[in-house]
Amino acid sequence: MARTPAAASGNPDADGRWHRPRRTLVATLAVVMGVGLAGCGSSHSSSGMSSMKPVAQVGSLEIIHPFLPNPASPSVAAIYLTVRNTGSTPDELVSASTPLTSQAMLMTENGDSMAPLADLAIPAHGEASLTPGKDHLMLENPATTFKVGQQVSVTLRFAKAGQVTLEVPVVPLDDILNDGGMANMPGM
Amino acid sequence: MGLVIAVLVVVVGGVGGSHSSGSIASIQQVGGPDQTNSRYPGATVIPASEPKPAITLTDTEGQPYNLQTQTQGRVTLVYFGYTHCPNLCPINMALAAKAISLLPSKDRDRITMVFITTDPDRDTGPVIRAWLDHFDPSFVGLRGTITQIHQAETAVGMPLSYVEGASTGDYQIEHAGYVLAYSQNDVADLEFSDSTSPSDYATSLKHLVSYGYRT
Repeated sequence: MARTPAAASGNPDADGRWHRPRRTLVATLAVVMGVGLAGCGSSHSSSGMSSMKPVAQVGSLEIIHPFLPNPASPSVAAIYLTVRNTGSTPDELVSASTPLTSQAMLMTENGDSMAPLADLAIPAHGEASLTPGKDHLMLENPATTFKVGQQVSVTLRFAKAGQVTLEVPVVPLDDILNDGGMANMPGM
Repeated sequence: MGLVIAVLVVVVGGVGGSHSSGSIASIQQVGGPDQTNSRYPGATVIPASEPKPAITLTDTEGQPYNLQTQTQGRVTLVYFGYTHCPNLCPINMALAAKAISLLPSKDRDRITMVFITTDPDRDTGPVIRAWLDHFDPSFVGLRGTITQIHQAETAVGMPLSYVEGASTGDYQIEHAGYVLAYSQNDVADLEFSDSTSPSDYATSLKHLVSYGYRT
């Protein structure tokens, strides 16, 4: 995807993203601290999510703890969830859709930059997550005003397992800070 | 330094050997200019401090707002973002609101959060006001022309934002992903990322209020 900086001064890196040099440590710390929060929503974690009951299942994939923080903007929202793979074959979440909008897209964050996510890899006998501040499912221009407690129908499509439709609850906006209201978040 | 040590422990305990040695090496390598300070947990200390600039933008009531004079002597948080932002912007706003809410009112009353839109075409004053009110009605929202916003970003030492994917209609905007914090002495002192815990954030803010710049 072409990126066209509107004004020029700064230090574009190889990806065309701009940083001050001293962003490097912050980025490193953020990644490392992300590891430190394992146990609730981070990829490949074996604790935390493992005890949660799946809300939907397709093949050997289980969908755990989906949530949509009640958005502050009427024009955009994000959905987060975890996929657990109980089988021995890796899979990928390749797309998602909802009747609320034609504009549902998997996105990823790289430091200061948000970009489309081609797929979310689900390792065999492992987990992968869409997590606040990192990967997410973006809904643009949803045809509703969300309310806490509302259920949003979302269909996930996987490369091998096929598709599954689930209901995603709208949770309070503040729950974006603690992975949708999970208890026992270290440091939270 | 306490933060770095804690992080290293997590790395060693949390992931495989080759990964952890790489992370440790990179921290040591770039540890020169950036610093942590146990008084400011969860924050990055800015090595080259800069005074709060006298930039003037427009607030959500349509009135001129001078960052330097109208936040003088107050701990001031500055964030550049936009309301049509699904992930990092609401997290950074919710996190700042949560951290401030953890403080006693005498400290809260000495802190101003300033949100500056990088998307003035879509973010009108009322749009920004409605969005900020979901987090904290006391948050200040500012806008201006793209040129003014770029001048503001330059003045506070942040990377310039730019539009991505405008041709598709629903564009996204690249922008700095962190909050800049000025001490009560009006000097840029700290940065907060979205991975800071609310309690650490609150502790750092309290110390900024109590002690001021780099103490």
